[in-house]
Amino acid sequence: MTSIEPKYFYQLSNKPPQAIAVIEGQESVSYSALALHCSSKCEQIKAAAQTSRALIFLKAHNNIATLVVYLAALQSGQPTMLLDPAISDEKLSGLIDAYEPNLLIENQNISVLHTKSLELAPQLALMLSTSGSTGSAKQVCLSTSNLHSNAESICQYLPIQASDTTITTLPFFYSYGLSVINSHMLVGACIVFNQHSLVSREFWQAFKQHKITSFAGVPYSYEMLLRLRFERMDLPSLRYFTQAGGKLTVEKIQQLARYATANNKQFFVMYGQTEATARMAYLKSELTESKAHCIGQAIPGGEFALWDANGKPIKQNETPGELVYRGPNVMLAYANKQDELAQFTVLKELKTGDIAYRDSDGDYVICGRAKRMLKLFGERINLDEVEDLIAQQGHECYCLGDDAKLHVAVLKHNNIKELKMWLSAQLGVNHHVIDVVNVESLPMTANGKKDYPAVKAMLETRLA
Amino acid sequence: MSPNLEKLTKVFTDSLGIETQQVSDDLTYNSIPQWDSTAHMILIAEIENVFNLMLDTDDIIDMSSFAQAKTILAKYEVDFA
Repeated sequence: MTSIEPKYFYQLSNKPPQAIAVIEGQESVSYSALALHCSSKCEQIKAAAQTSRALIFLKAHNNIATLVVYLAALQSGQPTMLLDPAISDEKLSGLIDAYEPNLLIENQNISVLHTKSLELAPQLALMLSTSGSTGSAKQVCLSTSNLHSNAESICQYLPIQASDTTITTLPFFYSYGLSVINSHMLVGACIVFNQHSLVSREFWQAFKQHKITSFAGVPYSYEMLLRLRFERMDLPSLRYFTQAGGKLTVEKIQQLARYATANNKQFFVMYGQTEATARMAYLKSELTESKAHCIGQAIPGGEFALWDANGKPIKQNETPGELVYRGPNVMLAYANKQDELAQFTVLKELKTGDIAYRDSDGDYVICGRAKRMLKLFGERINLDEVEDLIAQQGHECYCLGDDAKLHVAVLKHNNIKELKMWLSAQLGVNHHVIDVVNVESLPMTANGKKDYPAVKAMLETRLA
Repeated sequence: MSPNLEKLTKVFTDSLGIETQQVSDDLTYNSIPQWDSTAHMILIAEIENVFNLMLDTDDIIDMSSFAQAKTILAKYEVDFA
């Protein structure tokens, strides 16, 4: 087992003991009380699992109970997969079959699935899904040093202070949401656990009551906030806010940047992926308005390179290539099943799948995507996985689209409305961003590959 | 059904992707999986569009049921009688 240095963000002994660590509803818990909750949780977990290192599945609600299990698991070196608590029974049992966890934990309930000891690599600490929506078993495997180094980098470039109070606006099981929790734990700040949406009365009441100093949002969060006329709200406690998890339009970034400047606040636009624990880049807040099209530069401790199609580094500016990241927060590996957790070969770098160029200031600009992937409401949708999902229903289709809409061309389907609503429920995204079209044939290229450009042209003629 | 009630019902069925029979005064935010925060914003955008008005922040937040939607829209002089 790796020795755990006390400086890690989840070791609570060096935090100010009386400081409030977390708030949920009427309950506030100090760092010293949180530390006690965690040590008794460690004992409970060990007693239930009857093994020194158990594999844990944790249904991750935005609440204190989840945080205690998460921290206890990290403190005692038990690898944990964070799950969307709304996961369907079918998807959950698929994951249980693939990974054979010892324990399934939700809030105070610990269910023992088996007590066999498993072969788990010493570095493995946490598993996060990148595409919970399609039900793929694929997980990103992270170590404690991945989590800790990323939290440290974030605290170097964001103005997080021990006296801060943040509020959860993103899921616990989502890397961006988790990074907010980790970075605030690192400095000994306070986190208000909130289960309400940005468009609810409860959220804004909690925001004002606890004098929230910062919050995080994905592009869709900010679209909602702008619709709520966020710029007109009087939020004196708010010092800064961050955006990541996809591309917000330049106009909206500028609108928010102007609001920040006019009200003596800071707005940070950031870039990252779960494969890099969370964050890879950020744009200095003084540049948010003037360089709203940029992702900025690599976070402290990380570095970017651009590769051409042959994997050769591109040295000159303004030349697009695949964005490649190196840093201590690059994941251990992907896993799809239990036996892939036994050992990991070190990944030297992370190919992000995004196409970018570097401008003359050294800032990076994303200009395309190499992977067949899109983002709807901040939710990453892997197009090949959607095709597989529909294929499992016995229908052949091609999926394509952009961050505004998912297009599905399905072969000879007699109820495309039903398919659309089913897909909307499966993926957990509103049906407005899904377009399903019935086609008589699905074109192939000469060498027998799916001809996406041809389908795209077919769909465009239909829409015209 | 008054023309405005018909319009509002259609906004709800379109935005939430539900059937007309599912729309009643008892229909509330988060009571069905389709009416989540994403759908809520689509719903608000549609209401603003169809009735050609701009809702205040508090009204957007408070519009948490079909019955509430009618009460709030009445303030903007949308008549459901």
